[in-house]
Amino acid sequence: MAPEQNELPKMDSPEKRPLQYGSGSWLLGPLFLGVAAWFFLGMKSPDLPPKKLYPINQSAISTAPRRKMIGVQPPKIHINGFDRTCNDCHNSFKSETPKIKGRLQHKEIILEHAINTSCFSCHDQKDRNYLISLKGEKIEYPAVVNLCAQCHVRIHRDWVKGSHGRSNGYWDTRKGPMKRLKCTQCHDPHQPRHPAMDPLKPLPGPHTLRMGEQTEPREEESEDVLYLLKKNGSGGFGPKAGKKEKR
Amino acid sequence: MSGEQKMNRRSFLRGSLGAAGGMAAVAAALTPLKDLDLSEMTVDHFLQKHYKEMSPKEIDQVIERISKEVEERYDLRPELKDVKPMDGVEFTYLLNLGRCIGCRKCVHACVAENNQSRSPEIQYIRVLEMPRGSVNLEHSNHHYGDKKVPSKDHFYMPVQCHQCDNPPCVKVCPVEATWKEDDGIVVIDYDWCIGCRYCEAACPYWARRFNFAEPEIPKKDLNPKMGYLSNRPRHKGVMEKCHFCLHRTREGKLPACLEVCPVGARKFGNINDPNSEVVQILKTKRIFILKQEVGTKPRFFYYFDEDYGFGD
Repeated sequence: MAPEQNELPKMDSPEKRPLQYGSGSWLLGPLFLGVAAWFFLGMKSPDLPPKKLYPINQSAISTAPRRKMIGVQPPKIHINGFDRTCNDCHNSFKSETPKIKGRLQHKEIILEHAINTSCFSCHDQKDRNYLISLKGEKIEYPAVVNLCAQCHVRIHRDWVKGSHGRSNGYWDTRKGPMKRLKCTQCHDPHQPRHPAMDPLKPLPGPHTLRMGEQTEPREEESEDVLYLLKKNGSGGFGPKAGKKEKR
Repeated sequence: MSGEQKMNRRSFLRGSLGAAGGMAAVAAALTPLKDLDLSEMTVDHFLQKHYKEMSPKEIDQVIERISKEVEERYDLRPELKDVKPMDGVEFTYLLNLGRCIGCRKCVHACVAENNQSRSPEIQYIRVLEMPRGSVNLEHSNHHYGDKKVPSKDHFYMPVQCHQCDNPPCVKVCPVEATWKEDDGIVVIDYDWCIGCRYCEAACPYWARRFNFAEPEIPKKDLNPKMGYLSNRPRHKGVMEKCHFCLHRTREGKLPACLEVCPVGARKFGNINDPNSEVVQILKTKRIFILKQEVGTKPRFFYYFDEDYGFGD
């Protein structure tokens, strides 16, 4: 009988407890109606300020060659509304001084091209509408590649095979032409080294976990052996090579 | 027993407070629905099948629907096409690491070509700046740009989708919204993607991008030449990534990023054609495969020139 006595209070307890949670149930109806009214009649969430859309600089991504058609066609000069070729002047003015120094015309040209110290390294002295090879053969302006190839043999080989230089148009030559730019459409033959350029700013992308806050690479933490060797001296065998350990 | 029916002050307050709190929670949960624009949702869109299960006629209908939506939003009738892979063509992309100067023109040309969102900004190509003599991706700088490029002490490695032959992103997709096409391009059906971002986590090249907000593109800057699987405008909540400009390349053209590269560091072609540029380079140059050890078999290779001896 003792177990029954123990269980009795438990059995009775739900009936004895006042119905606290159900007593506000009459409120549910009006509250639901209130929510419904807010949902259908209420204002939309406020408009965000207009977003700043990053503009694309169309000139920066133009596919035009760097130096346009200069160098592929014989150069022309506009004088009094007429297109003049080189010979139009140079037939009258021979100007056969071989040195680049002391010239009175074409002063805007700066010649910084390895061993070439004279205009006539490449330009034909007798017929200025042509270029000239090392053997003294005339080269037409559209065939300027043959002139450059005399020295730049391996780059010319790569250009022919396709790994050097820029291509435009079609990869599938059955559907359209693949345009290959010639040497002088990118390089200035008088100053072939490209100057450093301003990079287009990176577009600030959404910050994903893998991007994080980016800073300059932390050099001290670089575990790359090659990089550390280079930083500590030439190849890691120089006098500075042991410096890292002493610190 | 009379106490059970009687409402005292305490039980009234407790009951009404609980009910009001519950209602507030319901209201808060419903708030996003208030901004829902029902005009954007159509039954056709909702019932659209998976790209691979659609008949050509159904695809035409879908293209018509999307064209209409784009026209309404951007006041511009797009030339939307569904370009299929070409027979016997497998694409390969090559990038000359020794040439890249880090100017980021490819990044910008890609955004303009492929109608990426300008706000929030999305770009497929990421150019990493690293100290010379190291390939430490973890410490590479994604946000360089204060100085002129190329910096003497650094080299630049553009990374985009490698169109893997063994793509981890395709394996993890729970709804098969992304798959590898016959020409090797891994594509996404933007109408089938549920935005779970598993593929983003699976990609070892950080190539996939997520539309966290409704993409915004200036009306005048929209590129009207579109492909269903490539650069048609996307919606909020779907993944996107580089697709080798398939609306261009499947018609024989070169990708947009390649055409603007001022140094000619980018090469593209058909690996099945023994006379193509890419095959010549793969045969003769030193090739570097990014994260080769993860076994993804990418179609995107980096290569180097030998030292020419002229300082270039």
